Amino acid sequence: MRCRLEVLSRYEINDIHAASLEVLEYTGATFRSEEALKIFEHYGAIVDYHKFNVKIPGYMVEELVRKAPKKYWIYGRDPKRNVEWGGKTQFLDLPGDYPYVIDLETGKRRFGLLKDCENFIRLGDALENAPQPYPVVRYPHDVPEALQHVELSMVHYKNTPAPMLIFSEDKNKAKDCIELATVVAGGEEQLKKKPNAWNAGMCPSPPLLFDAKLTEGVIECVRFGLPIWFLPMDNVGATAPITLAGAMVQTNATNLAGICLVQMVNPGTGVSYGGIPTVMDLRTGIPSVGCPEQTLLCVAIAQMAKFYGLPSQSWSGVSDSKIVDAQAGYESALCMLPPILAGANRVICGALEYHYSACYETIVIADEIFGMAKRIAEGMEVTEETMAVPLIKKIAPMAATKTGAHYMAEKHTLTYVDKERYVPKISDKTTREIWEKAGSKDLWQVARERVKEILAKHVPEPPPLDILKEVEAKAEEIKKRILKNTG
Amino acid sequence: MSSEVVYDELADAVLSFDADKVFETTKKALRLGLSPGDIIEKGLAKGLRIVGERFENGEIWIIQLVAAAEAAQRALNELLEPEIFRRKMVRTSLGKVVIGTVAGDIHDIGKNIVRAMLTAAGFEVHDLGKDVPVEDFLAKVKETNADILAASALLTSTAPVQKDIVETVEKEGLRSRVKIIVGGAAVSEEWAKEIGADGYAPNAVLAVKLTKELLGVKEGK
Repeated sequence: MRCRLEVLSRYEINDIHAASLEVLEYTGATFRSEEALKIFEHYGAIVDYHKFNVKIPGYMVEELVRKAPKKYWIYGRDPKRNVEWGGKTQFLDLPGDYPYVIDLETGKRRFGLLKDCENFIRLGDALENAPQPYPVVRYPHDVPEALQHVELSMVHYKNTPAPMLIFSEDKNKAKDCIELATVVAGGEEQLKKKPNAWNAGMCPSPPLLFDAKLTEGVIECVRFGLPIWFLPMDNVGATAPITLAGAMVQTNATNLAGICLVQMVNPGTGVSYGGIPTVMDLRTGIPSVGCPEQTLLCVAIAQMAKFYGLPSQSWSGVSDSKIVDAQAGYESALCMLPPILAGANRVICGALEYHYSACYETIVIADEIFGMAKRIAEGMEVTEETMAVPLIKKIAPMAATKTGAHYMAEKHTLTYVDKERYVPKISDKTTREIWEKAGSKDLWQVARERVKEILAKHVPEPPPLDILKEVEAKAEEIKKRILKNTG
Repeated sequence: MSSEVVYDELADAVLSFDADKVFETTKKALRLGLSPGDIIEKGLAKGLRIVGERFENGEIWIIQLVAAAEAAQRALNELLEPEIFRRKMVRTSLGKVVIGTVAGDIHDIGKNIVRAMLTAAGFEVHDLGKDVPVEDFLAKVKETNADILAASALLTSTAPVQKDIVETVEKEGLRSRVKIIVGGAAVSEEWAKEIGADGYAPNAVLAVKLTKELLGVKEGK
């Protein structure tokens, strides 16, 4: 059977659901956007414009959540890169929006640049487990703030045939990115019929606060039917209750409020339930990750999403360590495995310093941890054929002979080897002599070399030239417009 | 059908890791009148060399390596050697190897892989099995006039037997005639040097390379 993990019983899931409905009905959520408030009011929720407060009755929440699709496709420019979102799909994604990058050459922290965005996308594009690479650096230091979303969209489009991303920091930015996606799709109608882009993450601020600009960016995406990832960032003990159940009620209520808005604007638009749980460190106050409480919340997120029949994602494989060391390894691994066992669809991994520093090496390490975790999740298949009794009867008695007994050259072994075995990509499994001859390298060095090798060799499938020209012309047009408007 | 095509077919059969296919193709080659020596050298051993390279490059796993080597070994033992014997030909081998897992140790998987790889590479291999006393190694070396004595040990407690082997071979005055190589989980390059062995290899592919180097056989042969 498959290897599964749950931290909430069926009854506890119901309790958290009921508690979240109570919060939404009697306390409500804060939406700073007037546009959003109007949508809620129009639909029949109770809105207080002075307090930016929306109270949503329980029956309405349940009715709206049911409108969100359980499974849907996002289309890449290469059909091989279409992503089926939901169900049993499980993939790794690169983390994002960190101000800093650990430099690949110096190992020192510096600001993230547009070149890093390109490198991260190309690195992700080369990893089989990461079919939807995120640019990691969302606010490149060498690009003016007003143009970042356009440059990022172009770098992403050029360096991966995966679905595009809509960097919707506000309504205008969302519109700009959607214009580019429309050119790629070949028109608005095609875009709506076959969405080729995701909204690049909606992070409500706890407790239960939806920022005006971000929310309006989301609404713009939803009008075109582009799917939305919800990633509330509840900080346990600081901006969320210290009890994990309390934090989960708040994370759940936040997801539900966002999903309600999406389904009010454009019923049937894809959403993804999720979270970036952090835990305030009691000594330093940092929003700690890679800790046991974060892991438990990531599992609960996957379970609650399944309860609603929605796809899910969580920030699961990151660390507070400042370098690629044992702490980075165990924190990432311990936080990544459990949500994968719980059936999370997308686990976001590979960064250091509690959401501050992106790191190339940790991404290829996360790719390895993900591969191992996925193999564990697949569990053990027990059938007549896999129990191999006739084979054991044949081979075991040969132990008494001079030639000895082993299973290595058997057809059964060759047939099952690829299915049964995970083959490590960067973990060292050599003998000491071979390891020493190869330079006695530690994992940081091995990972760095692997990153460099990928960046030197991997050529992502380029976009079709004619469409690229069109998209580039559109990007220039948008940039000129922005520069004119901002003076 | 040109003989070259058959040799390629033999090599391909080895590369498919399918023992039955290797067996049948070898039979066919013999039916076509090709010499056992050429079947080994131009067919099976060539396939095995490619398998070895692919293993070293990480393209295939140890399971495929062993499957290929054992497939070739089976064709050698059951078809080619009897044919050589029947035709009263002299098997030209790359050299003679006496191999075994040392006394007190019954771990023989690694040794078996090395045996299969050496056989398939074209060496004449005399396998003494596992838990082999020092005297048996010595007797077989004398009997066959072997070029190489290969001793395997997995346990830390049995590795010292390898030292006994080196000392006994020296005492018997055979040291200049036979090269001694050691391997196994308990063994390292350092240990090989310490006990005065001629070489150590950490895996079967490198064991074949080492044996060839010690006997001055050029690579690609």
